[in-house]
Amino acid sequence: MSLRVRRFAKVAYTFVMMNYAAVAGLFAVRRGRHVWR
Amino acid sequence: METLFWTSVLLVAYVYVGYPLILAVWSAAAGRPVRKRTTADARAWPSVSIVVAAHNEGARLHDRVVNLRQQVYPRPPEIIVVSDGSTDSTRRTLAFFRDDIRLIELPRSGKPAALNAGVAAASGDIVLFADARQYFAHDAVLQLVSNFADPEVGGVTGELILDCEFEAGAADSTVADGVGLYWRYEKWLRRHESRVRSTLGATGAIYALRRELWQPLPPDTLLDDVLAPMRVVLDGRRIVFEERARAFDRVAPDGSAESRRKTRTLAGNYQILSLEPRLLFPFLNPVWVQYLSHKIGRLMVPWALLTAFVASALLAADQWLYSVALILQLGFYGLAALGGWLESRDRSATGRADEASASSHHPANEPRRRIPRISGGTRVKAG
Repeated sequence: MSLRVRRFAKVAYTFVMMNYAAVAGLFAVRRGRHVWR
Repeated sequence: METLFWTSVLLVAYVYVGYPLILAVWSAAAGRPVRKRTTADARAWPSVSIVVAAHNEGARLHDRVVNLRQQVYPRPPEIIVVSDGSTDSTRRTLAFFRDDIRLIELPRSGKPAALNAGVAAASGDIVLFADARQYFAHDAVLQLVSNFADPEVGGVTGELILDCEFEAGAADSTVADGVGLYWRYEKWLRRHESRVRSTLGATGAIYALRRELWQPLPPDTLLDDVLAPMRVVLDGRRIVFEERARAFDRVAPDGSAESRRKTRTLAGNYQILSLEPRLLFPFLNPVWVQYLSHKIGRLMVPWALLTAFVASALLAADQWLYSVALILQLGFYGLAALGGWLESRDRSATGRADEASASSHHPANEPRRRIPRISGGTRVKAG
């Protein structure tokens, strides 16, 4: 697998994770979950 | 349906490409420099209180306090450690420093309460917030505080450098590479937002505020490092980004830890809208355009992506353009799945390597992380 493909795959994965977190964050706030850093 | 699709695509494009381009032009055309303090006269520098809120960080606090005490600054900073219900060796560890630091012990109350207590106990003109985990460059405090010579500046955020940025292979994983890229992108935005007027928050590991501007945080605040600085901005001051004030940290070792952190961050962004609704109004928020584009936009993007996907799937049968759009999206998500598989594989490989090399591991024996040599900086003779 080429380095470029690996790099794009990693960027895409991070992008999807960030947006998943945005949705998860909304539900976390609605459920009143609090997390100590 | 076509309107929905194109609106969604344009929203995503604006948040990640359009806004950064506008910001670059805006900062080049109308950037506002910050007047900095450069004098060697110690009396000209404000007093500083460093507040470290910690819960069960006994294993890290000794080195952390040593790191803070070694800061080059004309007037020795006051160091306040707020122990938030710690049940480990925190008190015993800090007893070593005797009167050099101040320890405040609270029952388990959460970080916001710990910060409130730390600031209430502080006597410095400037309150600098630090976490237990990171290390500061030797002149981090100096570089941060130099910006307060400008009366418009209400707060300063430093730069957090992740080990994936300076140690090749330090965290050899998909997550490390992705997080590194994300961090570089965010810092680029932060740099330009600072030049235009103000950043939209601070890096929790290294930021400072004028103590007079502090407003106690609600106890359930998720993002103290966004709420506190944004309140300063709403009061008409600037939060500026000082790249020469550096803190170093290790990236979360795996995707699930990073995912939890991001979830908390984005949950906090939702929460802040309820805590400070002024942020949504252009005549009340001096950085309304930036806030809408950067913070609110990020919250809307996942819904836009979902809308674009569904819309293109429904339209694909009728028009080739949407078939192409659908295929591109499927390709992108397939690539993301590949990235996730790579991360999982990298994590498994790291775990096997750790098992092979670990002997007797105890936090007290953990070797200190290598901190890269920092060149430049300013040494100021005290007195």
